[in-house]
Amino acid sequence: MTVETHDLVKRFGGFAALEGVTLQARPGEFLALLGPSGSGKTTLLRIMAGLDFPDSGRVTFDGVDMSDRPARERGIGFVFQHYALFRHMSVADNIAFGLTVRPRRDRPAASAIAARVKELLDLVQLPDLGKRYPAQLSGGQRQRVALARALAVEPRVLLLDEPFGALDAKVRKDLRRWLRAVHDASHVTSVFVTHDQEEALDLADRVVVMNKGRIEQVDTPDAVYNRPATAFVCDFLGNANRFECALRGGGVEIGGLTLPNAAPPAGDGRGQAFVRPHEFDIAAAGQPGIAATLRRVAHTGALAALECEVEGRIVEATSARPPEGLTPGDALTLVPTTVRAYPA
Amino acid sequence: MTTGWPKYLLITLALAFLGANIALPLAAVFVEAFAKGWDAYVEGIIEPDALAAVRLTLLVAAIAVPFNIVFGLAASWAITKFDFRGKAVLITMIDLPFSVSPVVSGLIYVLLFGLQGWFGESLRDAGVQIIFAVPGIVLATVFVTFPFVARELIPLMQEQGRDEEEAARSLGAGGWTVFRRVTLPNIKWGLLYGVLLCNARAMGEFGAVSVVSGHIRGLTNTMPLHVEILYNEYNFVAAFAVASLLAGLALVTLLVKSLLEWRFADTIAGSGH
Amino acid sequence: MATRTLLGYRRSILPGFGLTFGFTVFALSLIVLIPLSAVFIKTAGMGWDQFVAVAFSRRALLAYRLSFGAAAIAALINAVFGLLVAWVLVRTDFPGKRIVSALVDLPFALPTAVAGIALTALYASNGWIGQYLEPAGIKVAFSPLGVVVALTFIGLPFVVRTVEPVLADLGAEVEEAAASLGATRWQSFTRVVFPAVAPALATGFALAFARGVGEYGSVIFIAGNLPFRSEIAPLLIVQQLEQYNYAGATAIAATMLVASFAVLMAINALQAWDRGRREA
Repeated sequence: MTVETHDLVKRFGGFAALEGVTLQARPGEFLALLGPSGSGKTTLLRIMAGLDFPDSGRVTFDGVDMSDRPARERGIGFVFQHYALFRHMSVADNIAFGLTVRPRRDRPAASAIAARVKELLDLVQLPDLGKRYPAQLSGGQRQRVALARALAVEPRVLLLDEPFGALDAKVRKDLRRWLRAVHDASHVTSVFVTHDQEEALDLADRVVVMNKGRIEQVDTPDAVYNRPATAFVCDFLGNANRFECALRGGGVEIGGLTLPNAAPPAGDGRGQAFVRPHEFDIAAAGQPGIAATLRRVAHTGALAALECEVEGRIVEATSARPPEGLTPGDALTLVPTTVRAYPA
Repeated sequence: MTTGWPKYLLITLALAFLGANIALPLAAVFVEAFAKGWDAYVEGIIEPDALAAVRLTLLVAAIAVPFNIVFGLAASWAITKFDFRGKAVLITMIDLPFSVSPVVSGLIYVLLFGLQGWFGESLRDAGVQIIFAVPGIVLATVFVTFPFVARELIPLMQEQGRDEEEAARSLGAGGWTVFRRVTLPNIKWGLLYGVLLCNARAMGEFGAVSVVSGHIRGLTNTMPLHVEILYNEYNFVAAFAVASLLAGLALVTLLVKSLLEWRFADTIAGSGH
Repeated sequence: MATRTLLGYRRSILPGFGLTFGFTVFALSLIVLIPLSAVFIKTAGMGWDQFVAVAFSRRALLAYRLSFGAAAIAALINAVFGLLVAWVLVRTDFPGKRIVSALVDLPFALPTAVAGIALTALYASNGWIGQYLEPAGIKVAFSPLGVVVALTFIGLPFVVRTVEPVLADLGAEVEEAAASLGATRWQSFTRVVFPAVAPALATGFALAFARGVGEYGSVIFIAGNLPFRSEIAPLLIVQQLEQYNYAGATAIAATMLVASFAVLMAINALQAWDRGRREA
């Protein structure tokens, strides 16, 4: 199913959570809403779900206007950040809830509900835990139950609010793979909110990068990472070093070098340039490039991380083959291989 | 999630219930007190028996409240800073006065110290009067307010643990210093909260005090008892005038209590009473 | 040191156990335990037949029925409206909410005698509310109904303040989760919210009930105190005392104490069950 929002605006008191958000999630797509806290991503998800309502703008499902319909009439599945499991119900009762609250004429028979619950428990790989209560489960298990509960109603769209936010790193990674596998098997249009760029890039078909209630860029993980549309996206994704620069004739002037601009073309003038740590070559002092002083070298497996100082600020560079014999305090030159620059 | 008219319907229903059940009685006190104007109101209050009742109420509270502060601090220190068996039973017993009818709370002292009570004759021979006198009123008031300070402090001090006190001890502080410099600053708002509620009950207690007081005008009448006497004499304006002072005390109590809850929510246990 | 081992007391770096524990037990015994035990010792000394004759006379039985019955009805009214008020205070926002929230505690702070005369003034046949009820044939003041009104006033905060934290702790998310799964508001209330707050609601009900059974000050003004009709049990104790019938007063008091201890135990059990369920 196609989920679209049209020019959504939402304010909480004086705070503008959404300022004109238009977006489309394509059928069967796994879409990530990525942004820092306060960027409006959760508000957008809740408005799609019908848990919040916009001040203006519309939400459509397959072209049908859903804007005034409450959550229970939208046919969605929502996974809450802290799961919101019903703690007085067993796991099986939690999963069955959405089916048992249906009007009698639409409600499956008890045996059909039981079969569906069993099927879902198998899907989320918790076949023997139906009789347990939420309080008796681990965080990762609760997360799976919350997903099973949302899937039980066969939603037309699955919405997930920071689905891995409350889990530790190891569990997070396992569940990520597993969630992607579940999605690939079910083909339900899914939208999830995250502030973790690695999660968004790893999991999503397309990533929506949000900032201050606006969409900065919507594209594939590869495109948002390698061809960021705005300075914000470039800065937010990946751990980029920032420099002052000048933009002239499509080139970037930085550290005495003129390099091609890997970012979308911009007019002449002052700019800010971003260079990711692995996009430096390390050269001897005095070469053309950015003059730096080495502060520290950390060997993290295959790569060496160089912590350098440039005009009083720390710049990080990684290199597979750092020059031999460098010690802290030595002068060196950082030569950018790829630069993305945006008007300041 | 509730939006739209059902939400407003529920808010309206709740406010209507509170209006009829809480706001109207409160308003009635002040309206009745001023039913015959300002002069009649003032007259009801400055009449000598009324002033004597005010003085007695203040005296009783001035004895009962400090006693319960000392008791509350001692009990919560013993209960929260040390481990011993029977702690749960001790806490339940401290709470006991809450589940005893005020009338029974007065009765028990009559059974002990009344003329036909266990110690009645020996007290009379010694010339000491407790029942139908101020000591009885104080005793009954201490009983009904007994748990207030302790039950506010125990959960608060439980939550705060013993680490800070133990750290202070390890740095060489003496027992009294630890209490004054470490414990007291941590619990002062919770303590004030408990004292506030304790004081409101101490000044307003009716049933228990009524049983032990003897209702002697100008001598053993507290303010609530004076209200009853005036009311039964159909002197409504004076009754409500004195009642309005007590209602004012209740409002001040609620105001300070709310301020404490908003300002120091994290240092008040806030357990419902 | 024998008592310390007996209590299982462990040596601590903190001082003052002997002093504070000693004072606590001393004060508790002197002010609460010994005086309370006087009721039972006195009762034990009066003989079974005499006890039954006083404590279970027709007049006493009718008074218990009124005290317990009116307290139960009032607590039930408060369970319904207290839950509503708690929900509104936790889940909604409206101007003046803080003042409303503070006023919920008025019955804790307002002396009972003041509440009693104020309610009587409201519900008397010429009062603000009574003047509309009287023509409709509803007599509140000086009737058993007045007792219910007074106990409803007294009991409200017990329910609101017990349910409020549980409702807040439950979070709005579970109600949203129910809605996202297709539950109607009514289903979300009956299947999700109510089962979750039920133990707290039962505790609040029991607290309001226990307070109502023993309540005296707010009731005696509005009840009219007609023997066999609108006379509450605590009033009966006072009347026995006024006739210097200590034995009679004690017998009724002992009966009420046993009943209120039973309620207290039920409340403790409820709270332990609720805590266990929430933290399991």
